[in-house]
Amino acid sequence: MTKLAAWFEERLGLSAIAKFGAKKEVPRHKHTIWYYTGSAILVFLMIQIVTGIMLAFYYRPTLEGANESIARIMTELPMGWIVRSIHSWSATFMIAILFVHLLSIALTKAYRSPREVTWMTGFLLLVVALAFGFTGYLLPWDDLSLAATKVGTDIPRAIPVVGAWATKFLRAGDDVTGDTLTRFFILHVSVLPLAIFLLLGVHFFLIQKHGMSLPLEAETRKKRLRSIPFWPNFVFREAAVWLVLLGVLLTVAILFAPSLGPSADLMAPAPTGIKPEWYFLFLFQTLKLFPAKVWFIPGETIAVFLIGIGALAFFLLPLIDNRPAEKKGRMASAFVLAVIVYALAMSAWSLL
Amino acid sequence: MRTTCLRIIAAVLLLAAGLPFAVQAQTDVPSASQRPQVRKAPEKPEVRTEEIHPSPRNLRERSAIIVFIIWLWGSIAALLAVLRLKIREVDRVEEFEHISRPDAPPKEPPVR
Repeated sequence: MTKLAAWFEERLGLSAIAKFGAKKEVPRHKHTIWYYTGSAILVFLMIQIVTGIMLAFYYRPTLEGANESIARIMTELPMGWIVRSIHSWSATFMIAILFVHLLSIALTKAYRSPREVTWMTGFLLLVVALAFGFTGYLLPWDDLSLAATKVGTDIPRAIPVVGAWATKFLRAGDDVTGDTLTRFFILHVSVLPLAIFLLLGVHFFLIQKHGMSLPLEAETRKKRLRSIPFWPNFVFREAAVWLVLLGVLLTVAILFAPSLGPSADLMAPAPTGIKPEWYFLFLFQTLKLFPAKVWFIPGETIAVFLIGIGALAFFLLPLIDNRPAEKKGRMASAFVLAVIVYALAMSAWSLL
Repeated sequence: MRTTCLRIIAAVLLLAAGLPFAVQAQTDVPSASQRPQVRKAPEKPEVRTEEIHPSPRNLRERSAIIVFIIWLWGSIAALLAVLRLKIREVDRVEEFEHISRPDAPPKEPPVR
């Protein structure tokens, strides 16, 4: 056994990783709880990858086969409905914790120098996660997913100059068809995973390079904080959080498994009460708020323009709020709080 | 002698675990004489018009789900108890190391 370990050690040098884990320290303060959100996202991502691969063994991304293959997964394959439910619920959990992670960083101003690029890669990871949700929503190919995708892919059309082209690119044609389904499947299982791994690599590298951020007050007062070793003290605590989250995920996935509608009919009219996934509700409601025309500009174009500006401001937050740590104002916090209140209010309104 | 006995018991238990599956497999697969000999012409698949609601199909499945959820949370509770002890242990070790460090910052109340 020791010989085998020595053989691997000689070739892979794994002890360096163990040493790194033991040397790495995690600061202990009143905001430490937010550190757990990062690894929780990763746990849900891993669950998604495993269940996604299991589903992909049986899923057929064709007009005739998509809905039927999912019906088969749910009714014929042993535990198929649970695997699908875990996949769907872990996506919801991952995106919810991603929002919490990003907003906690925004409110504690952990994006400040030198962590600007870490924030930006984190924001892009959120965008990729949302794209996963959007492309995955069409794959069951039922009436609701088809109608929601029609609405979703029509939004870029409001962008001047490139909008029509963007919609055509997303749909692989003028309308949502079987080609759109294939395109979304390829995006969901190959393009987006590549993007997420690439961004995660950069994000992790930057976290290791700059270390974990300290609270603003500790940095401004040059206060020295206690810290605990990453291994094993922090990892054991994280493991406890993972266990609880896993329990909640499995319980919810078993008790509230998603249903599957009949196969979508391309010629059928859109069903009433179309709603996107919960994380797109605030955008959906924002679009509904605007009238058809404001003076001579289409209302949808103004809405998309405003949403774009909001997203860009969020992406560039570290550059907008770039004052030194001791002079950080409350404007950025107020902006973030306003975004949270707005998103919650719009989502609630959309559900009513 | 004792080891041999244990091995035999383990083997019997393993075989017993596989038995229900073997019996089920035998009952599920019809014998050659039972299989229908006439080949039907391929039919057009029926279009499903109803929604599929994944739920336990019978009392047995419903009971299995309840048992599984109870077992899941029982295991989580047990693992959390073990982790709590391990965290206390490693924290105590770290505390000793921290005190013995010459450049240690002043002690603060632990964050809960």
